[in-house]
Amino acid sequence: MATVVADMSMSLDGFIAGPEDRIDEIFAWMGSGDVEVPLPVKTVMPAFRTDEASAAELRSTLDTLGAVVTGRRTFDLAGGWSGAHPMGAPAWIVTHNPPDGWEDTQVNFVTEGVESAIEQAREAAGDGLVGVAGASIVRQGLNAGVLDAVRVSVAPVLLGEGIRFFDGLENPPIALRPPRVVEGEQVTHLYYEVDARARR
Amino acid sequence: MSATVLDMSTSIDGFITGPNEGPDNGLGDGGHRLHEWALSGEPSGPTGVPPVTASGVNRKVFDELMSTGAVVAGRRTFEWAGGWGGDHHDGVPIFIYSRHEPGIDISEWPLVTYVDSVESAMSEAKNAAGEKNVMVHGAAVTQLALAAGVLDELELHVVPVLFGQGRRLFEGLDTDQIELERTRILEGEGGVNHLHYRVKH
Repeated sequence: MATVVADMSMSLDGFIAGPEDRIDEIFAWMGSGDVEVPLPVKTVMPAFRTDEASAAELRSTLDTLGAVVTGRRTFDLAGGWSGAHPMGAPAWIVTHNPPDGWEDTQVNFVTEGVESAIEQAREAAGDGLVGVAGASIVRQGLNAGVLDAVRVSVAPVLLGEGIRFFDGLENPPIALRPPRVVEGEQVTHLYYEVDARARR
Repeated sequence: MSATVLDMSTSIDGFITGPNEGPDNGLGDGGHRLHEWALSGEPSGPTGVPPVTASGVNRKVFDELMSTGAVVAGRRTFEWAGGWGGDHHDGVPIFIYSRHEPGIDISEWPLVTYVDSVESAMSEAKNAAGEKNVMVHGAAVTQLALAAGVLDELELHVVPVLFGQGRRLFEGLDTDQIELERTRILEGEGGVNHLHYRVKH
């Protein structure tokens, strides 16, 4: 069975993007190191450049990733990754209005909501990983109880304003299991399984 | 050299209290969950604080906090906690940032001083602490101290729970972005992680 993981980089004060959608500081850990991890699809960038511990995390994710679920906003901001997600997995995009011109690509549009998108991604992923990204999609996934785990990569910066990772939870508190902690050079990866009581 | 160190327990989503916090409910509903790594069980004594139950890594972190040489907090944090009975730990001086007169009677508490600027509270506390660090408490003081550049370090105890509501530690930070340097991570018992950062001034 697939594992559904919300996976986001976040500032210490909880933002996944700063003012005007700035992500430079939050994503700095993926592009500023000495260890190269090639991306399967090189349209956005050819490779991650990071530290050894973070590289191991990224390699493990790339090895097991079977599908990606994200929102229309993320998709549009990335220009649709030219039709193929950089991590090399098919993507399911939650949207009300599917755009034209993406037939015969690795991108699928879902109009029936987050749960349906995750279910379709699960089927495609087999025993692999379903990566869920985008603040709104993660929130809906948590509220529906369909996320198995949350991985937060905490960047060493306070942004003060922007888009929060966790906002608008409907049934808090949500208990998580003690995390697996990976210390990158400056980034801190915290991998929490969602407690069974907060899952469906 | 003495440093001012923010000490706060927080949920992963950045809340330091549960919902419905107030003078008689300082931690908010369910807020004790954030402090269970250090204090748990039935409250005892005049301050209503549960007994210290931290052990192992958590105990080491707790003992570090209790070896600070002065405390700075905001008026709400202090007064809603009953002023810690006038003594936070070991009789160290306490400086409360407030633009108003005390809302509780502090006349019998010689350790407590009300100060009307965060900068003064921090510098007076550093002087009082000598070689030891200053423990800083509270969200409002954190915002002001960060904006004024007088907070040196952060020690956050990140508890494995999403609170979804309550008071946020970082809210309305009135400054440009602030770069940090992570200086330590300690994995505590029960899934709490103690993250330590130095503020790059």
